[in-house]
Parts: sequence; C-alpha cells; structure tokens
Amino acid sequence: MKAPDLEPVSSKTKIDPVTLEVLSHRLWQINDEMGITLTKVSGSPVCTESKDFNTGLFLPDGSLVIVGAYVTHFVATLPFIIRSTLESCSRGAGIFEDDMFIINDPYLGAVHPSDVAIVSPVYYQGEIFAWTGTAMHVLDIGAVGLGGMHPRITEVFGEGLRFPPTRIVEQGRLRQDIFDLFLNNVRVPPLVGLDLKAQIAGNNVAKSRILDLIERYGADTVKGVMQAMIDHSEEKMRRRLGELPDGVWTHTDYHDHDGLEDKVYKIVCTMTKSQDALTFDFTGTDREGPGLINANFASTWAGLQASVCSLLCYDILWNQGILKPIQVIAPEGTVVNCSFPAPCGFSSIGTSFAVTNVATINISKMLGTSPKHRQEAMAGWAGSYPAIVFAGLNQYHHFFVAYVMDPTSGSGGARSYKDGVDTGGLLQTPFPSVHNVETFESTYPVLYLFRRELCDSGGPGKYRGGVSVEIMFTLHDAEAVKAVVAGMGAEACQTSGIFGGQPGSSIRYLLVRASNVGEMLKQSEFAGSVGALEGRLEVLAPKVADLLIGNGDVLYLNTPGGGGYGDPLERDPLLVRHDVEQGYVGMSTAERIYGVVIDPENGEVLWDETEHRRARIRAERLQMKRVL
Amino acid sequence: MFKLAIDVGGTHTDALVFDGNQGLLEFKTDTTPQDLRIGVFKACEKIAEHYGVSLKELLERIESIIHATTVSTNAVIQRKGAPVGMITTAGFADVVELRRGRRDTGLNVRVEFPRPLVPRYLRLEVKERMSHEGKIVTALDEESVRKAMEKLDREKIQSLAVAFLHSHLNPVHEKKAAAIIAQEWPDVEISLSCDVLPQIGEFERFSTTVLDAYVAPLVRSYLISLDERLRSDGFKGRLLIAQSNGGVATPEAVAQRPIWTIGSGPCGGPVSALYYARSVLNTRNVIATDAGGTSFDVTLIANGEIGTTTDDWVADQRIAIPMTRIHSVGAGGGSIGWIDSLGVLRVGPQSAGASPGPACYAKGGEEPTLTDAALLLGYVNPDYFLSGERRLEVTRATKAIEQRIAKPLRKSAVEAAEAIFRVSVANMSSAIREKVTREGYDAREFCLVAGGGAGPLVAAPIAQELAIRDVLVPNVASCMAAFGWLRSDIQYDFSHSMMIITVADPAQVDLEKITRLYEEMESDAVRMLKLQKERFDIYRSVEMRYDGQFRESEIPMPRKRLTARDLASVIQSFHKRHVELYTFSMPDRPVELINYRIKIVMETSKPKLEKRPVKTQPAKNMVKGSRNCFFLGRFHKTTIYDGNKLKPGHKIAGPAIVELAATTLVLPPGFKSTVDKLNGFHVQRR
Repeated sequence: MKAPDLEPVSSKTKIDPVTLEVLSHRLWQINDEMGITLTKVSGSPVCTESKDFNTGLFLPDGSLVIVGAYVTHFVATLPFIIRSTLESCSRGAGIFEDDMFIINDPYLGAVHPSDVAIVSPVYYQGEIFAWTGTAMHVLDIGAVGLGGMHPRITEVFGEGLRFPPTRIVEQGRLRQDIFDLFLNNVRVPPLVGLDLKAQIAGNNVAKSRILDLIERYGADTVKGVMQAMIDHSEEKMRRRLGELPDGVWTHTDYHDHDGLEDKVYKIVCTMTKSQDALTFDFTGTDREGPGLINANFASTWAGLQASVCSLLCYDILWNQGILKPIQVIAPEGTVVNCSFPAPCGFSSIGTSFAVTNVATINISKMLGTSPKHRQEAMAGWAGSYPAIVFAGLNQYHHFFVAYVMDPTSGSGGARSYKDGVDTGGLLQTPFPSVHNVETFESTYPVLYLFRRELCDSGGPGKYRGGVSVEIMFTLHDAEAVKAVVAGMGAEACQTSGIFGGQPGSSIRYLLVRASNVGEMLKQSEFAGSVGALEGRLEVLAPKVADLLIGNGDVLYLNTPGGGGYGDPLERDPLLVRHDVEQGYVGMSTAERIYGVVIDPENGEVLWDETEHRRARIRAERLQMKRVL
Repeated sequence: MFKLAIDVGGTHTDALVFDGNQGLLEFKTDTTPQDLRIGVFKACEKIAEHYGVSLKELLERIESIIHATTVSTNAVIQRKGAPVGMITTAGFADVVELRRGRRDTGLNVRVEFPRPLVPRYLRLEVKERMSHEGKIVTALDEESVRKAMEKLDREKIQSLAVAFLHSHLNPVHEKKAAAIIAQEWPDVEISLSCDVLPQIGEFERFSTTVLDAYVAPLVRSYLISLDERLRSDGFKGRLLIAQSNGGVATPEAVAQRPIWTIGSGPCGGPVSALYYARSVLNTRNVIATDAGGTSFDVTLIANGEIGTTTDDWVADQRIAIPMTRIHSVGAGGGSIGWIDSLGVLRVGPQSAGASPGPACYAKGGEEPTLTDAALLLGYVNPDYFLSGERRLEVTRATKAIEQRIAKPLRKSAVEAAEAIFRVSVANMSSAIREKVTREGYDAREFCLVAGGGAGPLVAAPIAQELAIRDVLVPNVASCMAAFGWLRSDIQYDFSHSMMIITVADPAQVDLEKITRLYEEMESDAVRMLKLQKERFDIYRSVEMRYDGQFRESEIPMPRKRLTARDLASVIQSFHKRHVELYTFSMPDRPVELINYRIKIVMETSKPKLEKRPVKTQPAKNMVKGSRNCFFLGRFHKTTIYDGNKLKPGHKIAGPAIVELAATTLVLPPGFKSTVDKLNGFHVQRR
C-alpha cells in the first residue's frame, strides 16, 4: 500500500521539515508493516481478504498518530480502547514493559465482541513512550450465534466472550492460560488462535521498529514528530471545515427488522457545521431494541469515520487530529448509543452503516453548497452489508465457519461529475478483496451458480450509482449447513441518492427449497436466475437465526447498489443507451425512470419519443401529491 | 563474434555491444514510439558505423541479439492492444470486472478505477461447469461456444481469451472450446487460461489470460517481422527476447506466451547488479537500484536470489505470472520540488520528464527538479552533462529554485537546493527501507548497487541514511538493464495448482502423486518449448502455508522421486522461513502445499568484464580541476576527476566528484572510493 500524502509540518512545530518528512514516512511504514504481518499470519479470510482489521500507533494517552487504510471503524475505536486500558489498568493490575492487552468489550470501546483488539505499550527508559494497537474481526467469538451474530439474542451476554483489558502477554511472555481460555470458548480454535498470534506478531514488529527509530533519531525527535502529525491533520481538517459554508443539514435512514420483529427503526442525524467544527446530533433517533439492531457509542463514532475520512479527509492523514473538531451527540438508550446490557453484535455492519449513510448525505449536502468543494459531493455508497455466516461439516468432513464476503464488492455512490463505480467497494474499507469463487468452493461445500453485476441496481440519476453484485449458490458435497442471515435494507432502501438522484437497490435474500438445481446442472441448463428454478421459493427476512440450508436448496443474495446523483431525466440519453447495451440498465427502467426510449430493433435512442416521454414524466411529477 | 543487447526504454533505445576486444560499447538512439523497430535498426546502423562496416557485415558477425522490447507493456498502458473477446463459464462473465473488490487507488474514493480490457458485451458465457475437484458438473455445450463465437466474430475481435472456472484442474472444456474455434474460426488467436496460468484463483487467472490475448497479436507480429528483417539483412545468430522474470526466451516460446514480455523493461538491471556485487565484493546480498528521470526502481536480492512476485499489476490490470520483484516509486532526476499548502517541501512524484525537462535544460521547464538542485550544489558540470551532449543553464535552475522553494522557505537558493536533494534522498531511502523491511530483512546487511543516470548522484547519502557500508557504482551504471540482458540465462517459469495437499504427517502423503505432477509439468514444458538437444536444468519449488492461512511462501523442492524424508525437510525449511518473515513458527500445525512450480534454465554464454590488475595508487593525474560544491550547509572545495581515465586501484577521497560519460558520482565529505577491478567504483564511509 502506498502512503497517503503525509504533510506533517505544522506551523506550530519546531521540528526540522526534512526530518519530519522522513520520520512521518517511516512511521507510516511501521504501521503498514504491522498490517501486512496481520494479513500474512492470519488464517481468516475476514482478515486476509475483506481486510476487516486495522492497526495504529498512538501517543501515551491513546491519541491516534497513524492508522492503516483498512476498516475505518477502528480509526475511532482504537483510541477508545487504549483509554479504557489505561483507566482500568492504572486502577488495578498495572501496565508494564512488554505487556500486551486484549480487549473486545463493546462497552469499553470495541465495535462488537467479534472485533478483538490487542494493544501494547512501548516503553522507553521506564516510561510509556507510545502505544501500538491492532484490532481484527475474528472468525468466531463463542456467541450463541455463528460469528457472534444471533438475531434473537436480547442481551450482550449471548454475544460471546467479552474481555475487559486483559494481559495476554505479560512482560514479553504469552499468557498461555488466557490464550487457552479464549480458544476454549470459540468454535474454530485453530483459526482464532492464528488471528491472535497475528496480532501479537504485528504489535511486536511495530514495537521493535519504534525502538530502532528512537535509537537512531532520539526520543524527543520521534515524540515531536508524532505530535506534529496530529497537529498537522487537525490544522488541515479545521482549515477545510473553515472553507465550507456554515449550516445545519438533516438526513434520516431506516434500519428494518430487529431480529425478533419486522419493525423499522429510524436513525436521524442533524449535522451542524459552525466555523471549523462539526457536530453530529442523533437526537430523534429511535430507542434501542432487542436483537440485532443496536450500535454502541463507539460504533456510532466508527460509522461516522467512513464518511468523514472518505469525503473530507481523503488527503489528510487519519489520526486524532481529524477527530478533534468533531462532536457527537447520541442520546443514551437509542439505537445509536445502546445501554448496557443491550446486544450489539450487529453494530459493525448494522446501525453503524446507517450512521455512515446519514453522515455521507449530510456531508455531501454541505459540500454541494460550497462553490469550492461542490464537485466533491457524492451520493451514498452501498448502504448495508447483507451478511451470511454458515457452518457445518465441509467436503473434507471438518467443522467450518464461513463468511460469504461477496457484499464487500459494494457499489460506489454517483459523483457530481460521473457515475458511481460499479461494484466499487465500501466506504468503510478502502482496500478489501473478495474471495475467489474457486478458493471458496475448494474450502467450503458450495457451488456458485453465478456471481455477477446486477442490472438496475445502481440508483438512477443524471449520474448513475454503481451497480452491485448478485450471487446464487447451492450446497455441494454436503447434506446441510446451518446459517445466520444478518442484513438490513431489504424493505427500506438504504443507499440514498442526492440532489434528485434516486436510491440504489435494496438487498434481497431468497431461498429456493428442494429445487431441481442438480438436474439442471446435469442437463446443461443454466440456472441463471431464481425464476429458472423449480422448487419452493422463500423470501427471507433480513435477519434469520438458525437457518437450515439443505442439499438441493439454492440461496440467492443481492447487495445494495450505489445512490444516483441528480435527476435521471437529465441523464444523457446516449449514456442510458450505453448502459442498456452493457446490461447495467434494463429497457423498461430506461423508459420508465430515465425517460429514454430505445429502439428494440437496433438499440438506438429514439430521440423524439424520448423527448415526449421525458415531458410526460415531468408533467406527471407535477400532479403527484406528497405522501407522508 | 559480437553479442548485442538492445533495450528499448521510454526515451532512449540502448544498444550494448560486447565484442571481446574493446569490451563493452554503449550506443544510444532515440526510441521511436510509432514503430519501435525503427529505433532498433537505427541503433544497429550506429554500431556498424562505429566499426566502419555495413549493416549486413555487422549482422553477419553477431552471434546473438538479446532484445528487451516494450511493445506489450506499451500496448497495455496505452490501451492499444488487439480487439479482444472472452468466452467464459455461464454466470461468471463479470470476473474481470469485479476484480475482487477495489484495488490500491489510495485513500481518495474519487480516484478512477480500472476498466477491464474486454468490455462486458464482448464477454460471453457458455454452458459448462467443473467442480472444485475438476470433475465435470455440467458438460460443455458446444453449440453455446459456436453461438458466442458467432457474435464475437460479428464484433470483429482479433484475439480471444477462453477462461473457465476450475480449468486449472481439468482443462478439457477449455481445450475442446479452443479446438472448435480453431477449426471454424482459424483467424482468431486464442489464449487459454489453463495454458497461460494453470493456477487456482479465477480473477488472477482470467485477468492474466485476457492480458495475454490482448497483447498476443502485436507481440507475435512484432517478433516475426523483426526476425525476418534481421535475417534478410544477414543476421544468422540467435535472437532472444527479454522476459519479466529476468530471464530471456526464444522468440518461438514468447510467441506461445506473449504475456511473458509484459513489464520486462527494467528487469535486466538486477541481473547486472548481482553480477557486479558478486564479482567485486563476493557478496550475494544486494539492493539493486536504478534512478532514472522519473522513477526509482528498487530490487532486493537476498542470498543471490532475484525474487519474483506473482502479486502485481501492469497499468491497471492484474497480472499473476512471476515478475521480477521491482519496487518502483516516482523519484528521479526530473522529480519536481514543490511547497504544499502548509509550507512543507516535497519532491515528486511529479516529474518534468524529458520534455520540458528540468529548468536547467532551458526547454521551457520552470519547475525546480532534483537535477537543478544538483547543478546548484555544484555536483553536476553544466558543460559535461551526458558528455557535453546537453548544456545546462545554471541561471534557469537558480531562478526556479529561488522562486518556488527558497523564498517560501526563507532560505538561500543553495540551501533550498540542498533541501530538495535531502528530501529526494529521504524518499529514495524510504522506498528501499519499505521494500527491505517488508520482506523482513535489514538493509545494513546488504550492498547497494547504484544504477541509472541519477543513481550515482544520490548513492552515498542514501547509504548513509540506511547505514549501508558498501556501495557499488558499476561502470555501466547508465545502461544497467542492457548489461543485465547480456548476462541473462534462458529461463522459463511454469506453475500448477493441481491440488492442495494438507500435510500433518509426511509419511501419510501420496508422494508418488506429487512426483508425478512435477514430471508431467516438466514433460509438458519440454514439449511446448520443443527442447531437444539443448542442455537445461530444472528447478522445482512449492508454495506452502500453514493449514488455514491465505498467504504462501515458496520453498525449494528436490528434483527427484520424493521421499517422506525429503518432504519433512521441505517442511522444516518452511518453518524456518516463517520465523524469518513473521517472528514465529507453528511446528505442530499441519502445512498445505498449494502451488507447484518449475523453472527451466539454460545457461547462455555470458560476456565477462575484463578484470584488470588493481594497482593501488592515488588518482592525482586524473584530476580535471576543482569547484565549490555544497555539502552539509556550506561550500567545500571539491576535486573533480575524469571518470574515463580512472583505472582499477585508483583511490579518491571525498569531497570529490567523478564525471563519467553518462552520469556523475558524488562523494560527499567523509566518503572514499576505490576504482574496482571491473573499472567501477566501490564507495564507503571513510
């Protein structure tokens, strides 16, 4: 990975600019090396492929100095975690040289229990000089539900082991008892063991590199550089905010189904920009609920970072400096700041995604009002992550837990000047990769029938949202597997368009029970859609516990498309024609929503018909009544 | 007899002649982008002229021509390859579009994303399916192949990629489809994924296959016409083509796998660097660098192995064949110094390139570059740049640095020039450190070989920054790649991920199966390459990981009928490697064998540089003069040496400048250098 533009010289510091440039790059590399170690050692595709982890370096008080370009959630949560460690250990057991602490309690800073952090103080001459830290979504956490998610659990106690800051490495030696305690409680101990080892190795690497750096440049210089990096990001962030118009923007998103009941929860965010500060106020958001619906406070902070980092800080080093100008008001007891012991196993990809959605639209609306930054406004990116976790015996008769990571393909929101990127990933994670079908099939007992981009999934607009992905698979070499389905945005569309653009597609989980797929495969008939199959069709709720998938069953899933930008009636008809030709927009959508009529014979735009059609849609709009 | 290497670069086509008598002779002509062959023949004519013979006479005397061409790389970068179509498994036409999620485009979500080389409407699906064990789930529907091909034919494709799921395990469907198409559409060139990269992972395999199809027609026609023209002009020797794995190949082999040439350009450099370091210092741990006008290339050579990677991109396309592991950053002589919005000095990655070039070229460039800084600092002689071929204008350089850098930083022009120089050194050092630490090594244990026009300028300070003890500046520093190609072996890489074998106990493994796989790979390769009488060596290796891991390490495998004991020792090497890389190993954990690799090597006769007697002597008589050069905040009176006259054994103490034909060696105070036995420079701290 390349370093972003590091611009560490702040007018406040006295460090020589050249040293600063050299050392800030060096710190970036140290942190990067920590991330690379994680991906190389870990045995979990959630880490190695989806890159659901992050690493950071911190000041002694937990202020973030540098963080990797992996899942943006951890930009906000890692500092919380180090502060929890400082608080809890300074009261009790103490913090010593070469200790490492493991933490995953969502009420002490973790996003959800599956995100396990390991943090380590770096001592120099008897004092804490800095901290290193990693956090990673481990494959299993010993919860009632597979992978930590169970739609019907009503308390955090059912969501797996919860470690307060616990010494897993004591003065350089692994606490085998703690390590074993952890593995004794999870479903796939060898793989989770690798995840922990990976994190310990990563922290070790970073620590020794920092000590080398102190040796070479002196402690004061390194410390000064770390502080300067934070100051610099803050200065740049405040300057950027200062350039934007003051104002108040509000957006609302909806999270459907709490796992127990098909009920819609409202997430309201009012963003106030005043001079060089930004406040996100979630007053008006619905009360917390049972099941898979809540986000803890750390997760709400985390969800905001995806938008803040991507839309405002794409050229600013992510650290404490970008967090300082931000204030978050999240009333306790709501779905954006649930109270103990409410469950929050879904906060990583549930309500925190809704937080990203509202923040993205609010920030984009603000950008859209700025003459200087107008171009940077964009519609929402893939607004939810329809997860499936399944487990059972694989084709080699070993127990497995598997995550279907296709939703990581995501979809880009439309930009002010261009379409969103088709399957352009997620705002929440800049560098993920999705598993190959071949690797997946040779590891888990499934056969994919297709994985492809989904026609009409991109939100219509003058610029179209990026299309999303659809997949369908059946079991192969297995009798049955048990699955958990955990998504949102099946009934309420979550990826908003902006400035007249329409939302991207909703998600969908379909199951065809006892289908004829085996027969079709043998007969060379392509099972190219759910409709091509015979069997009993079930439309699944976005959250299902203990779903049993049997031999001959076929599961379909589509992920959300990106939002559109601007009125689809203003889209260049030739672009619509191109989309139809490529199979990204259907003929009927072209006519119904874009008002573009295409000759079915030769695929050309019928210009007169298009003009009439567009005029008629405009006239119809004037007749529409506003329905609340 | 002559040996000739012709290396086509972005600006120059370098021809390096080895004639046995005069040793190495370097000729440069302009690269001719519209048809690279023109530049190649111009270079040959220039050589003929030098020897006072006709082109025919020259070509008749040449024993071999080694040619590194950018024809395929340029086609990809400029998207000027053949119109290409794709036939794939039903349900998977979007594999190359989905690209496994986003790629490394930086943190800016607004950056554009790669577009596949085959648009969606030319990626057609056929009914067929293999299982992950390579068993047929759905038999190939031959009619759907014909139907797809009819459409592609109407769209006038010239080249076709055929890529089916799991075809690396069972290629029958791909082969059958290819047979049908070859029979009925004989004009279409076909690339099969089971041939190009028989490895698990459809995105990487499909993308690499599409690239192969994309460049194939161009590469083939280029090679045929080049070969024909050379032959008709009298050439009777052997033509060899440079590959991205650092080896060379026969034109026949390249015609079968045109993709082997993509990105081959700089891959000769590390070969030269290793040769130099071994000959002069007898070391096999080398950091090979090449600093040109716009980029700085770093290759780490540990224990004599020039590493390759299969995890690379060319332009914005994923390529998974083994390529020399070169790390490239935007830093070089043309890198522009600038002040960012908060008053920080930065250098690069933008470069002034060859046009307009640095401000001192006086070709309209107004931005201050590293070359301008080196000029102000007194390191570069304005009257002897490229042996005087280009005069540099100090006033222009001064003006650019003063206005753009010195004023905002409140420094004098020369101080600002030194700041540009230091930041450039820091950037290049970072690039090296990043590369070295990522691979788990300590830079201090390596020798630095500095190549490229700008390399010798910055070599000593980089070594200081990284605490590297020995620096070598070869006398062919400015044409490192071409020299490397002269010394490259013919080398072919093949891989196969036929099966994943999990090993808990080596005694329980079907060793015969592994032995058989290697033997089959070898006989297939020998057949494809039509190897008969030639002598060649074959090396085997395996990529392995701990059960459940997703990243592999490559471990050598003995070339024999495998025994449990052999396998146990391979596994031991893997544990050891894991410790080297990640600080720990897990000896109790089962390991997995994933990819099986063979490398076929045929040694070529290599020109040796004449080792001259080393006579320790001061270099007083080789002094051209002296001038004031700026080091560490002040001017020092600095001796200038004529590099062309220095002989092995000559000793020089810094501060000193050695002016060579196409580059300048800078020795700051505190450094010394000895001319080594190959007439290059061995630089060390005093």
